[in-house]
Amino acid sequence: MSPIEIGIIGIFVLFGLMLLGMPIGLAMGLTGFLGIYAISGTDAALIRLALTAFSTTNSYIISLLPLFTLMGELAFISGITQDAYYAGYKWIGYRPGGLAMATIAGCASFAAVCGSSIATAATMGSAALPEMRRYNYNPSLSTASVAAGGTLGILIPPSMGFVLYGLLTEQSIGKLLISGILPGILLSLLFIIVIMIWTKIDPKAGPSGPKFSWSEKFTALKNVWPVFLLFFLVIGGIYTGIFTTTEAAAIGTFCTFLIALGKRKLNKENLILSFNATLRTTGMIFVLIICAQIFSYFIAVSRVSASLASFIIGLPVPPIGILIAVLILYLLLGCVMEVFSAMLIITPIIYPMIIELGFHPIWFGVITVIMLEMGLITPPVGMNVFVIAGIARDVPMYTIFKGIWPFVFAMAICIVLLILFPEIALFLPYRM
Amino acid sequence: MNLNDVIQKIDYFLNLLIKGLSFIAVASLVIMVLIVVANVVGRYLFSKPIIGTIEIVGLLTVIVVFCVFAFAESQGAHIAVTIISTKIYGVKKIIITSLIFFLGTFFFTLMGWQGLVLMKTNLYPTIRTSSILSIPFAPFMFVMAFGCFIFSLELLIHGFKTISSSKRDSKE
Repeated sequence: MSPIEIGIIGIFVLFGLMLLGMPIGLAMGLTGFLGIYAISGTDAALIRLALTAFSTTNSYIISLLPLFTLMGELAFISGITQDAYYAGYKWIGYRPGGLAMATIAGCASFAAVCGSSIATAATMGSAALPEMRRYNYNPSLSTASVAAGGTLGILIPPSMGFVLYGLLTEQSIGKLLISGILPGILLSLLFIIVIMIWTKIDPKAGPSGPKFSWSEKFTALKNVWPVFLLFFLVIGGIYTGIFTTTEAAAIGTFCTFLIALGKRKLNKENLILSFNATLRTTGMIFVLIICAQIFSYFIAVSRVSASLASFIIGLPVPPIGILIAVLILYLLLGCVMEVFSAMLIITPIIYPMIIELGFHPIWFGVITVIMLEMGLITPPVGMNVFVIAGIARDVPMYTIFKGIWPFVFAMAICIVLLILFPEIALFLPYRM
Repeated sequence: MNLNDVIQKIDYFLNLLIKGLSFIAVASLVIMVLIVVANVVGRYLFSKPIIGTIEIVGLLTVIVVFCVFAFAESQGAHIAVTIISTKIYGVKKIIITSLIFFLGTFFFTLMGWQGLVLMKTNLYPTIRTSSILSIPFAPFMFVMAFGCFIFSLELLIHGFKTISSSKRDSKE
């Protein structure tokens, strides 16, 4: 059997094992190991296991993953992000749909200090959903706005999605993080426009909230400074070159710790909670990363990705048509599996082809992350929707998914805008 | 003493071990933050960065990662696609689930074993070290191997628990 045939069989075996319920990391690692064994022999396959595990983890750059995770967890227990939501609530909550818009603004703020979409949705869900319920918001609008807003967590830096993409494609993680800023702002605005249109068509969906005095509005702003401080420290530090990405992550973690301490939120229970969550995420994500590296090596030695690239490039289809096909593939995979896993599986296979077609690697990283965001809210496996369903237990899953589609449409518009104007993603990274 | 008692005993000690490893991971993470912050402060305020920060942080990451594999498993954090598996019931479900755990045990035992082989090649004929601080790699490879073995053991216990719980259910 030729290496390419083994590679193709390997991809089918991987999907078969995953469908049987095997943890995705293990499925990738096992398939990769067996594939390398079939192509290069026992010794090569065995030593690849340890070499990949050690070289992947013995890395200064990859250390930013647990650091950013810890920073997000500390931000969560310190309550600074809820303060950002309440500031938005006081400024725009009185408008029709204003509470949902404040939720999007709160999610964008939380995303600026946390790289996880699920954490963003969970945090904002517990703060915003009770308020929207109090003002009789349509459950579809309220839950969908939190679920969709939560996806901003992996687009606005710091972002786990960009870190993983950077590790897989050997692109500058700093540039990737910076490239997410403008698309993140654009997508937040598109989400707000969706809410405005929704409440214009159906004013009962988002009744006006309470009106606050100017002094109350400005007082609320006083509590938002930690979010801005952390964002400018971490992202500003990376952008200006004062810090490396790992340094920015450590400094951000340290400052978030000090802020939580200053706000008297650091008790033993909270600390244990944040460390537990950090270790859980770190363990889960690194099993995925190590196993994905083994699988990537198998794909590389089988030459499946290279052959796929030359085959597809030879097709009489314009590059944009191929890009759309790839985006649909991402969307389908994001629908049925956890989004980071989808990225780890597909990127090694299609990345060489995308580069051959002449697309910019940083720009494609942004597009990939937005597609993953879609996967977080589309049925049947929409992790953010599951999180929100866990918080709003009386709202059926169907109702949440029903409200999601306008936001998915907004994401599609964002992708179209990025295709038409790649500078939205590339303007900032190329001024670093 | 039947199989269930043996599993419960091993599980008890394994949980203690996993807890100990997670303490080491937290300590390593905190040291990592402090070293990087001290390096930045030293570089900008005193023009004295900490030499070898990159090496120390990289090696600390090895400790953090391999000390938490089993912890993540004990918390059910490792993710799977459940669209089809949730529609399988009875004996088929038990066979598939336990087989997945045993395959996981096999895979991570291999990784641990190869970690030890790698450690050996880093000790003989010469001890391989990092380039700036000359920190030997071998102890960190041992941590990697140990973390993989504990993770394998946790998966093995979960596999046996799946079988024993099904036996208990069928008796009831």
